[in-house]
Amino acid sequence: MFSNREPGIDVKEEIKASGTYEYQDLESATNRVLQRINAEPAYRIVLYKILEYCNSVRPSSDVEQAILSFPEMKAAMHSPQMLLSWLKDAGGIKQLATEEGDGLWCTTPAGRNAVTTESYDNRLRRLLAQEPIYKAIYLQLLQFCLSPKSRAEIESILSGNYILEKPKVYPSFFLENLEKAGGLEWDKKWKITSAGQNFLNGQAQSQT
Amino acid sequence: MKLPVITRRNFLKATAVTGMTAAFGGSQGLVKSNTVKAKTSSSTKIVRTCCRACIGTCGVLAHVKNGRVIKLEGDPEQPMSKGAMCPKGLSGIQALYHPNRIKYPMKRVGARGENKWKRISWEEAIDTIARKLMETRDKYGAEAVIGSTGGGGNPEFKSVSRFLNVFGSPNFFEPGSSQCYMPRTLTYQLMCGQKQPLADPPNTSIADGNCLEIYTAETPIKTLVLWGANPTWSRPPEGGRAVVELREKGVKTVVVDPRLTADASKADVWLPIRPGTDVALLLCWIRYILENKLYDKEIVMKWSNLPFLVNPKTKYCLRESDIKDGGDPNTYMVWDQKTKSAKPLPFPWDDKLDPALEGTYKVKGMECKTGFQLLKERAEPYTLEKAAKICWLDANMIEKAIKLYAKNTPSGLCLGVATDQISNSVQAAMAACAIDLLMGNVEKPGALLQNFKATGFGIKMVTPLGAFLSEEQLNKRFGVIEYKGMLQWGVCHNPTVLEAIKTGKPYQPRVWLERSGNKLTALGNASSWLEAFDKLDLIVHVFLYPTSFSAYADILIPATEWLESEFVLPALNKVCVRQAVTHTWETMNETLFWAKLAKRCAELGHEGCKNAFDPKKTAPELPYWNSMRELTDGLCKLRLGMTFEEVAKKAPYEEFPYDEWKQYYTYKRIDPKTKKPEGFGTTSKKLEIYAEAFIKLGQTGAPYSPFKLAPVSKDYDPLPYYSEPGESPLEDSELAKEFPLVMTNGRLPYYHHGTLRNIPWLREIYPVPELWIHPTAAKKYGISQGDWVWVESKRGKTQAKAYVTAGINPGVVYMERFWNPETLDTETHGWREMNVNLLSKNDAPYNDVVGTYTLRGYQVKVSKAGGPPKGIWTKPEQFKAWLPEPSDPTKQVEV
Repeated sequence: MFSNREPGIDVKEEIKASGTYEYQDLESATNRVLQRINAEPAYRIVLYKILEYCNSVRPSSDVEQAILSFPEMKAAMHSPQMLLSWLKDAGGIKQLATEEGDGLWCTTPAGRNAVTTESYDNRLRRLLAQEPIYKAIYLQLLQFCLSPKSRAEIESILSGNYILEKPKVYPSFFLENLEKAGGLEWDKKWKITSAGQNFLNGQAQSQT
Repeated sequence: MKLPVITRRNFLKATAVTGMTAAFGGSQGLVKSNTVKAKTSSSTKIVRTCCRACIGTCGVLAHVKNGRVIKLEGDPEQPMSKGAMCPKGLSGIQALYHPNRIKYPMKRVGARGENKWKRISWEEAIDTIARKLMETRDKYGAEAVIGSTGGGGNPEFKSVSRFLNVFGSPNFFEPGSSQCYMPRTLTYQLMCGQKQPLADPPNTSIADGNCLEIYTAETPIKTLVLWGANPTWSRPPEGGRAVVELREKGVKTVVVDPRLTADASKADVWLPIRPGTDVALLLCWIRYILENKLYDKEIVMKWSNLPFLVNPKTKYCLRESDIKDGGDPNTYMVWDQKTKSAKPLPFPWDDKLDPALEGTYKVKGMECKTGFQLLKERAEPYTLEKAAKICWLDANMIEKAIKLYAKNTPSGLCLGVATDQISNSVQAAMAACAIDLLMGNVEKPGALLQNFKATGFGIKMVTPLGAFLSEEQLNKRFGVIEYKGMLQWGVCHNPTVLEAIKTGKPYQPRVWLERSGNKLTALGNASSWLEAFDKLDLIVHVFLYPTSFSAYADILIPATEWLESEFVLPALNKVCVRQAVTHTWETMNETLFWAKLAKRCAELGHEGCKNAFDPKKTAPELPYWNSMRELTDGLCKLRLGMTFEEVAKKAPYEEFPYDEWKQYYTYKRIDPKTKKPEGFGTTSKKLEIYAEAFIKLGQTGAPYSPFKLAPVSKDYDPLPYYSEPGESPLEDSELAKEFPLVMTNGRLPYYHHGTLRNIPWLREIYPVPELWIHPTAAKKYGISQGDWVWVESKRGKTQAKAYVTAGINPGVVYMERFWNPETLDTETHGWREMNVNLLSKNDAPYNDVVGTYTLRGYQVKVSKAGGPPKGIWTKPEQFKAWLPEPSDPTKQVEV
């Protein structure tokens, strides 16, 4: 998911080095981006994906196409331009002036920092640590969704699992959390994301 | 705005904002307007219709000239309002032509709360919502869609729940229900039964259009108790007018209310009770009536279940089958004093037996008490003195009130909404109902509890299609197992909804479809809901004009005002209609909106929605409709044998003669099938003062659930009991020291729930909420008449203007719900300045049967404020900005 970024680079260090932001400024700028994203639950994942995608400078037409290709946009109420305007207003992306053509978009340091802070790996790790009782179920679902699964299929494999009974939680509780953490995505069925796959692999390695 | 890329043209188009930040609240509407949209005619015509500014049905004559409504006056032919109208109804023109109506479907283009909107077509609005609903259902399940409604001017309560049932979501809720009326409809139905399925269950709420006896000129009622009820302010032209006329005829009144309301000011006895302690006082009344043998012995012995023995193990009344192999499970046991043994009592009575009313008897090794005995023991601690101490009343005045009610008969106890807003809600209704039943104030001339014949149309236009909701989905309803009383209205438990939104457990709601005024004014502890908005993918608000809630929505749907809508309404033995007098902008009757949404979901492949359009699948209920006329015609033909137009032309008309409508003693009528009296509509056919039906409800969900549900954690109690409010001034707690005053609320005559705060003339009359405070308390806290004050509870603080008056219990303060449309476009969105529901309590203790939280009877403190909240309007000239404004011509859409 972070294909345009070199692994291992610390964004904060990078920004400090570039002198673009004072460290405190970056913190508050990042929070502004995160707040804006968190205020849009329907687009939370899409907005992160946009920040990732624009980590390299991208022409507007490419950005628009990319956004429309995200499965989360299938029942979206707002256009790609609108989402870009939100991120721009929040300081997560910026437009680069060009002589002609559609123009270019790129993620700002604050936007990049937001993505790093809320990286999928961090989120998934946090999720599993949050309520250890559910760890096995989360891993089971990631594994199960290596191939796409309908909600009914997922409900079926969790049926009778006593952990769901006290306190009562429904399978969608786990799906929702895994989706929010970036481990699963919905494209007519639930399927594992590449981040989820990486996480799963990491879990397997740590156990061996 | 500089947006040089992504093609400037497209970007601007995508982000174009109609009215931009302009102002839901200020002097500009969302869209400015120039001309009138309505049918044109040079002459004035008068259209007979009915109001819906509240839940009343007052008759209205609307004068229409050149297509514009120019005058409203009361219709003398409507038999309940008799030509009277109240300020709410009379403001119909200002509401209809308000410059800030929601005029078109709109979608949010800024962040939630920024109030940036773009006009969209109806097609786009419905398609967008439907697609999101379908995706949500596929991803998380239909239960992730929640829907809500509310009282204010609601044309049809069941529209939202019908849609949700069809869609497969069990999660329908409203701020009312458990906090408004449902504790009473539930309790009275379980204790008295219901024989008129098209009417509300018999109960004593005047504000909800019951107690029809008071509308009859010849009623012999002699004493009327208004307990937490104030019809003069809640339903002025109908119940209010009727009570005034009764008083004029010499009927005595007792008012139980912390404040000196309009009705209290005319009462023979006023009991300014401490809010939240009603059950203690009601149990005292019961004790006094039993101790002094003031009850109706004929009714209690022969027509109530109080002589029945109670099985101490199960708490149910003892059946013959409990003690005898092959015994009849439907025959109840009594203790026969002649034979000194337990005997089955055949319905309705056996003169050969001499059943004991009170006492404890040994039956098959069990110590069995009679229902009467158990009730007596329950009430025993509540002497006049004890009740006076708990309720902050004078014992002599309590006794005077009871004597008036119990000796100057026939009498009736009208129970208002006040007790629905305390955690003892159902117990209050049980006790109040028991008092009227003990006194035999049921189905006799002068009684409030009647079974008058309902008109063929009844009170419900939209039926809920409850059978569409599967057992699996019903079990997912928030709070359904613990609070099974909510099954009567098919609603879920508000605090549990909120908890689920916040925690994701047991599952996360994702879409909120809301139809009503301002949830942030109506929901208890309103601030606690703020966090919810950031967890929801889609929030749709269907209403007449933008409210604070709209600011957090994604799509706004413009609903019709009552002058633009159709409905059929019963009024005593007459049928009345509400007719669409005109139509403005692109507003749509919301009853039609939900049908159109179901249609679109059906087109997108939703099986339940498809079936809902198939009369074979919905029978005996009507299928969904493609137009309002299809619905109104369908119902009128089915129930009245005419088209809507034919009914409208004829209305108001008598469906059957007055004497046939006013049927007394229906329980004594002989049933031709059984050759026995009909009895009451309960399981035992008796008045179930020992309300064992609550036990069964808790254990199974019967009679409201079509499926047997898991039992509650603790059986519901079949008798009323008193619990001190969750926040009590009696306990010497730190809380009570910091917050020493008890808060109550109550209806104003100018507004209904959260509505009409944008009506210029009403705001001129009552521009800001008053905080009623007793002179002794005012002096203690340094507050003078007219001061701006801060009112604060554990949960928040807000402002009001002090009204120092001896007309309130000294330890109590009063404030009614309020919000400020003029500050909608500020960061408060109008709901924080003067909103008593920032203070109210929506956490436990909840009522055990219906989950009621505490809107009255919690602790607050009061202090002087430096001045009014910023930006609010208080002067008449400021409200001019909201005076009627003509509307643009818009393409015709169905009303």
